[in-house]
Amino acid sequence: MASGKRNVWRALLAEPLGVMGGAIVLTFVIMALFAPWLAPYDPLKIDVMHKFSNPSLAHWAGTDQLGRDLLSRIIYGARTALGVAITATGIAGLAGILLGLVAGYGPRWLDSLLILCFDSMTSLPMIMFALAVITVLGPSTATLILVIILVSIPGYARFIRAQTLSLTRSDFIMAEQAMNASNARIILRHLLPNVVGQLLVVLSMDIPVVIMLEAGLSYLSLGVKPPTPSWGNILYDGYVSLRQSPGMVIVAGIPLILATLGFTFLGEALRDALDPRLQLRTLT
Amino acid sequence: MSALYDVNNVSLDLVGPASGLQRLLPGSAPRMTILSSLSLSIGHGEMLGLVGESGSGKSTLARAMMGLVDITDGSLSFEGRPVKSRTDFMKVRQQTALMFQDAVASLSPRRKVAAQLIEPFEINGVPRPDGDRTAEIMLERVGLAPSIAQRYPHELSGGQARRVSVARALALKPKLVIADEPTAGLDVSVQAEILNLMTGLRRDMGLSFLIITHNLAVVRHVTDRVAVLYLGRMAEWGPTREVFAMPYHPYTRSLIAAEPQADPRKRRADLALKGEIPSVLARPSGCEFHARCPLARPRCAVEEPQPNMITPDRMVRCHFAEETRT
Amino acid sequence: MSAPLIKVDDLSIAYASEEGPLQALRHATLEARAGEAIGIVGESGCGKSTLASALINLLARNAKVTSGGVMFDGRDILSVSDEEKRRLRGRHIAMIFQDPMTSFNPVLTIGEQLVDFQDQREGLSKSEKRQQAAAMLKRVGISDPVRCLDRYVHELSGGMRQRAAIAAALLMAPQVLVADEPTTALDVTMEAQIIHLLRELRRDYNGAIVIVTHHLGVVGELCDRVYVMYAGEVVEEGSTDDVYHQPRHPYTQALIACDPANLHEQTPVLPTIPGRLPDLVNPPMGCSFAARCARAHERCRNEAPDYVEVGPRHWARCHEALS
Repeated sequence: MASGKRNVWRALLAEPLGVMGGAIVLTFVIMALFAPWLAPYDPLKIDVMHKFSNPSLAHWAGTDQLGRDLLSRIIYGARTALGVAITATGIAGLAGILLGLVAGYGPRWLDSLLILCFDSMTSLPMIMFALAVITVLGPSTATLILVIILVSIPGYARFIRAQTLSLTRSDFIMAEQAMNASNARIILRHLLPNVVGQLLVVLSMDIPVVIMLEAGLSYLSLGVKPPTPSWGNILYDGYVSLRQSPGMVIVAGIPLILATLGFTFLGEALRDALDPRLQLRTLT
Repeated sequence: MSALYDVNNVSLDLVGPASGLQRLLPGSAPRMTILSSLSLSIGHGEMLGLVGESGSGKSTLARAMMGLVDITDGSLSFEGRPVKSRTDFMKVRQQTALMFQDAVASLSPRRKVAAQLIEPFEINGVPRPDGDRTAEIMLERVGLAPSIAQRYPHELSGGQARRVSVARALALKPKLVIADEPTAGLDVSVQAEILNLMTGLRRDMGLSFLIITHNLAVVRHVTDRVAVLYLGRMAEWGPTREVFAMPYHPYTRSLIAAEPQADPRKRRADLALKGEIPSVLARPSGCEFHARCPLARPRCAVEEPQPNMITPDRMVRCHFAEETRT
Repeated sequence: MSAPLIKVDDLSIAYASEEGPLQALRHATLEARAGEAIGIVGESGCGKSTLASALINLLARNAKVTSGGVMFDGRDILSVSDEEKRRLRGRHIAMIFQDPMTSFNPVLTIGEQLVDFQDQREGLSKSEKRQQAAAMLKRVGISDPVRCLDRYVHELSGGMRQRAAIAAALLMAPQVLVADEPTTALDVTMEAQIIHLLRELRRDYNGAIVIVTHHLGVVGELCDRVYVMYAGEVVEEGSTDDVYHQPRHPYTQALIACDPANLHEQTPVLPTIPGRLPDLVNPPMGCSFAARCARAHERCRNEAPDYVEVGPRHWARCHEALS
């Protein structure tokens, strides 16, 4: 399995769902990166003359209650969704790796202390915690990211800690200790590469959860503040104007569903590709 | 001349699995005696074999000698200097290499062989002797192709992985190599190659070896002296040739008799040793071997035998060693 | 002489690999009679595990039979239906694995599993099946069989596990018992006990026993006949005594010479077999051992040798077997 990234890629491409997931994710990433070039209109430009217009050649996905082009808002929304999701899971993942490695390989008292912290974090109901933080700091994209990071860290850290604990008892770590390797060396060169792959799988499966969370909180006006386009905001607008334009909800829902499916497929394919047990071995 | 590594009266206890209330009361969990008053010395340039069944504490002793587990009692000394503190062990580890039973598992799974071979130099701040070609030259020394350097551990065969671990063990030109089951899981012809490699290195570099194994054939052919361990205690030690020719301890005798004979004409009729090695949680009283010993007498169950030096270089711990040996 | 119970006839098996079909087993022929114990011995990569999995009909998914078959009860068991394969396995042909831990389900007790293994046995109540299981555990030398029935596999020691696995294999009184490295995971003393047990069980067992191992000692202790394998081929077969005392194939000779158990004096250098296994994706056209054989000549490199009868029921696949 470790014989290279090449093999992981090959295994990933051999899986139809993985290819599909990868294609969807890639599409969203391109949308997010090149939004100014891809979007036919300015997503913030108000044109009340054409509000609630149905899909047409001029507006492929129609317009909203202020006459803003929905397709452009969806494309810019991808920027918000992926921006929040990738930043939040990325930072939470890094912090989780660090804390998990320290808890798993460090002294016992530190492990107990960290576990106590993680457990108290996870014992708080997530939504209540999120609402509390947002009430204190006020709704904004930055607050949203902070909340997501805080609630995700314990899970990632526990995951890394469990992996680290089992690796710590393995022969190759003991062999390093017998060669006088420093703790920093053991953690960075030998433990880290062995835990990071599995965490990537977890992270990619968590990205859609975070996208949903962002949309949900934005829908509740607790996340991304309007007029910044976010799939949650669009969904909210669509819900409010359900009577005038029932199509808006659907238009805003499709990217959410697709992103969820895309990242989940990719994550599952990645898990299979990284799992050496699933790779056939010839026996002689 | 003083010995290279001296293990003096070493005992090692571990805290056993705690149950229920024991978990709440620190110190009440059962203690398991893994090693008990064990003494052993390895001379300069000597090849010493340590044999015993699994559960006898062989691997624990090796780890204790490297400072990977703490001893409870007794003392260790390397080249006459006591080994106690972390810094003492750091020095010992620079001159002692440990080879693990599972050679593939002892290599870091996601790093290439080359990176793992030069690691001892990096860790100890020693310049690589042959620059960029160091790994290749190390591989050549143990009879492997230089291209192996670019492989990952799981791409190696059992014999290749074993050679890589020999190469890594020799990196810093150690004085002592502790090899835990160096031939386990290898084919007979490969097994002989690894043993030849080790004896050759000993001849050329004056290395000392501690070979830990349950394979008596290996011990018989390559070691100078052999020590027999049973349930964390030394049963017998002495020059290999003498011990195999005339074992004093009934356990040693049973072990030698238990070896399968690759000759249908020499099939054994009866069983050399019945039962299994007891658990360290239920250590028998008196002589720990008495429950399985074919020659046990009432005294064996109550009184611990003391080390008995039959000759200056032969020790046996058995009440009746001298009378039962015929 | 009785007819063979199970017969491997010109069997070739290849595994799909990235470089092309890997010919793990080439034209292997073997037979085992009732009441006989045969040994299949060879080093890693010789094809003995492939042969064992063909006997028990558990070939890997990427394995393909390219010639021959395994004849049992008048038909080729490799080509029967999956349903039939399952029926044969356990009922008629049973296997003892190297790691007894894997032959039991960790979340069921030994007793529950030994009762389950008898599900093909009609007209027996559950408590009768349990009694059968206890009786079988007693027979394999477990001193407290009733207590053992209520234990989980991780609660047993290594030696006990292997005894329980042997009991499980013998439970349905199979006609063929295949043991793949039955003692490799054990200590010398446990190994001796399992060998002793298998030898005792042989006395009142009427089926055929096939022992697959890399350990010449195990075969020497247990088997009547031995098949020596190298690079996917059976290179020599004969009675254990003949093969061990008058080996005719150079590989057999080298293998016996290498075994440290056969050396009685300390030597500075142990004998080895120089060279390595041939590439099984492109096996050599001549004798597969020619590249490592000290006696090889032109003919050995160009022409694959056939079986040469070197004695009564003793064959070697070597051009020089008679010289």
